[in-house]
Amino acid sequence: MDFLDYQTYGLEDTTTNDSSLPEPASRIKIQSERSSIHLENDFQLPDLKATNQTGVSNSSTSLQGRMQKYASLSLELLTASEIPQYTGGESTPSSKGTLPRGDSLKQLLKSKEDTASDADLLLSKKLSRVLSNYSSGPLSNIQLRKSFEILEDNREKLKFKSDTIVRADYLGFLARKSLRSELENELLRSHLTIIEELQPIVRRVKKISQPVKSLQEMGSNVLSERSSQNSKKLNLDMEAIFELRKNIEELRLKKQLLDVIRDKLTLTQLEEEILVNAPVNEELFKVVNKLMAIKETASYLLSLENPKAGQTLLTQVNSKMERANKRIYNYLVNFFHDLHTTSKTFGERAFASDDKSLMTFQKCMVYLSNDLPLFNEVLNKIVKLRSQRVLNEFLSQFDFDSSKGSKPIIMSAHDPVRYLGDVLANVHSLIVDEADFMASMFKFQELDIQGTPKSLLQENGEFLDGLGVKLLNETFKPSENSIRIRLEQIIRFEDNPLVNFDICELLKLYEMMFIKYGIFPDSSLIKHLDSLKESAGNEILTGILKLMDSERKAETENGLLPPEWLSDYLNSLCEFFSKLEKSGSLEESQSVVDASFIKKTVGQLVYGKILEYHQDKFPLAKRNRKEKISMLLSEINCLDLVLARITPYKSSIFQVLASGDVYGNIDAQLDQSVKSAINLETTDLFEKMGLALYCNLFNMIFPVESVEDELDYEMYFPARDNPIMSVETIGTNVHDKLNESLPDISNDIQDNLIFNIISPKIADRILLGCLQNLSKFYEVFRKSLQQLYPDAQEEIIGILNFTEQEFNTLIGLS
Amino acid sequence: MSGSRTGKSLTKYKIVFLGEQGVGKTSLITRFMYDTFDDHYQATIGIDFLSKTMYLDDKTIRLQLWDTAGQERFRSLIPSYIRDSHVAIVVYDVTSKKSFEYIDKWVEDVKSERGEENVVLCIVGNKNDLSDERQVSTEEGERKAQVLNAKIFIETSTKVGFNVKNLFRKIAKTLPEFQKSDNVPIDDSTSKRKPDVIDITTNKEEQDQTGCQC
Repeated sequence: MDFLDYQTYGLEDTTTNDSSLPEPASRIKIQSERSSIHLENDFQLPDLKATNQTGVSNSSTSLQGRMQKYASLSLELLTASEIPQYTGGESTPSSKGTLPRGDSLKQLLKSKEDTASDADLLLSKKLSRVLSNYSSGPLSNIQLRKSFEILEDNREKLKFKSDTIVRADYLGFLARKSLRSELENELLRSHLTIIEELQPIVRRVKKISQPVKSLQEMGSNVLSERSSQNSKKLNLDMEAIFELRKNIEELRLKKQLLDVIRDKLTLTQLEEEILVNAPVNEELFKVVNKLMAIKETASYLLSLENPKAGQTLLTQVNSKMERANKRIYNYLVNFFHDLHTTSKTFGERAFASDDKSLMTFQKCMVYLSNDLPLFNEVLNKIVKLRSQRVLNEFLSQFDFDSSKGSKPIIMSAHDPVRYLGDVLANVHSLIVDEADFMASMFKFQELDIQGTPKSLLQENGEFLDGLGVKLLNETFKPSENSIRIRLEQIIRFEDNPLVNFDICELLKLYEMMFIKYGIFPDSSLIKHLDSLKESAGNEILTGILKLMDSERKAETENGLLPPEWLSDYLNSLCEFFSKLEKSGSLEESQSVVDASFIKKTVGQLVYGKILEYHQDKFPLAKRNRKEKISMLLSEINCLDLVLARITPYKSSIFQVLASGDVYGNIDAQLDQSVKSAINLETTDLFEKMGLALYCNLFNMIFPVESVEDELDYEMYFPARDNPIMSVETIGTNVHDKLNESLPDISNDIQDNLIFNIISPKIADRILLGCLQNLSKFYEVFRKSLQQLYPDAQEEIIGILNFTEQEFNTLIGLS
Repeated sequence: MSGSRTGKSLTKYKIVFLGEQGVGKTSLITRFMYDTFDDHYQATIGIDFLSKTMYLDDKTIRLQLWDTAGQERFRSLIPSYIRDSHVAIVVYDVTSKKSFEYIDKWVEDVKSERGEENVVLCIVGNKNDLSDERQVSTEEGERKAQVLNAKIFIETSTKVGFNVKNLFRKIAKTLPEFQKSDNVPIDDSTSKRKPDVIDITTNKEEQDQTGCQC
């Protein structure tokens, strides 16, 4: 490639505009006058690129033509000695450029022929020859054009000063001269850079060249071997080709299938990265979902003949799941630690139900439920933190801290029921607080778990359902002992049955309220309360029985009236019954008072304590009838008092507790005692009247009280055989005594009974009973004698000198 | 990150409802919590608990409502709950003079447990809609509240929902959390948007409509 001085292109053109190329002109004064004028004009290189972009279809060919022409002209000018004819064989197509059109060129040549000097001609020819050497073919033209284009493109890079280059003076000449070396330098530099870049590649190529060579050799060896083997089968085996094509198709399908399986059964690199490093959020959950889906799919692979693939896949997925679960586990533990620490420092925290972090936490819980050991570990940690808080809160209520503005519970310790109420209210408060917290944290029902495999919730539903309640119960386990101790220390030393009853009621109520707010009925907290309730309940009975014993010791002499201890005991018992009745807890199955309670407190009193009391007080009652009567009267008084006090509860407590038999037995016992008293008193009166022997005799033959009509008197006929039944003996034994004692008989009874029996009703009953017995026997005796001795009617009337009516009037029965 | 995942700070306030049996303590709470009214009376057994989070003036508070039983047999439990409560609401029935007279006893209980200063005492005359059966006038109620040094006196009707929100709004304003932001209106838009938030602002129109009962 050679370079031209474009200053020499100072050719005049009538159609010249700013972008037209000037004609080449010699620097030396060998050009025509006209040419020298134009040389002074500024030469401007044509904007080749711009011309290209204008889209003129034939612009490139015209440009080449023009350049060729200019080159030829230059050569003609330069080779001044020679004046050849311009032989530009190619007719340049017309263009909008600065070059003359075909006609103009001819005209120009013509004018040149006319005006140019010989030197010009010579130079032109020379230049033309030089250029034609360069532009010997279309390829050279293209190359030349490309060169120019490159030059123009890199104008700025190469610091290509077009203005200087096209200058006609010496500076222009120097610039043109140096352009080549500059371009060469630049070219060399770029080559060097490329070579440097290629260096490592070459090194690598060199490195692998040896193995490739050996591979090639091996390949050629194999091929040569095969060719030698197949040399016999040179003919094309179409079937084999089809077979191979079929194989290819199969392999292609296999590849597709494997691609799908890979996509379905493996994680992408991004997913792997998320699994390991991304924060715990939706992205991670998506990856875990995919892992679970893979796991589900992998389980189908296990059913294949060779389950190895399935096993391997499962192992891989499991290890990834394990990693994901560990990250979730760490997140959960940190979450709760943060929450706990912040709560401790800045007070209680709360989450809105749509809080993002809360939802992430809940989702983490759902996902972690896949890994039960880790899930349980998280739960244990949560429980540990929460139970520590609960315990601290519980104990803080016993501290004297004036800043709280509320009295510490210990201040109410003087009142056992209030103290226990305060402790239980505090526990109640803690339970509802904790239940509230757990409900807000572990409410999975409303959780949006789209994309989560259904199996996750179905399989783990049992762990997630009611998780808050389970945790609540677990949270309170460590505090149970402290709660129990605080309650027990009061209950254990309380012996007042009424207070113990209140305690029982309190414990029962709080048991119900604790269960209402989520504590399991079979939890140890409830069991503790139950056992405390039972202990207090037992204390009620013990206290009442103790009251019975202690009061008995402080007994004072008070005649036949009920002892004081009995009154006091019944007062306490009735107070308790009133409380029991008011409490409304009678009909409850778990009532502290049951039928056995009544048997022990009332039955034992009547059949045990009162009996013992009378045996102690009347030791001679068995031998001495008077003593026995006194004992019976005292017994009647006691039983009457007991019945009088418990009667208000007959239709409530006794009926509900099915203890009606206790009441009935006492009533029967009283009745029996009254009857015994009547019998004893009657016997006493008969003795006073001298009728005792006859009464016994008659009753031995046939009970006197069973006699109904006159025919019954005949039953007593055998009595005549008895020596005491003679009329004389009867007269001796009965008449005087009867007449002496009869008028005072009523007063005697009253003296003996009425003053010693509290209940006038019972006193009346005894009195009436005695008199009726007397009256009945007198009537039967008198009439029987009249029938036994019909011949001695007058004597009999003389002995039993009162008619039945008179007898009744005298004793006050009438 | 840890700041955002530990939720918002939360102050809890205990409010204990006191008063004779059947004055409408449970109804008052039900109206406030669920904006409903149940004609069927059911006595409270023991102590009931309900809680509600309130977002006010960019602060979160949790109201713990302790509903006590009016029956005599549960009386012994109540002082244990007054012991650490911040607000005591003594409710009486405007149609029952007896329930009004018992206010003194309830207030005495509150004062003996919490003293004069440590508790916000409110006196609420309920069943304001039963104007024909009224036995206690509003003036009497106001006088009693003044005598007993109650910070809030208000008449309500849980049946028609009159003044219930207003009562809780007044209570909220007396709490230490909101004492400084007295003039800041409660943020309606924020509270309505949240699912677990109760809106305690009073609708003026509604109040006007229901206000002319007596």
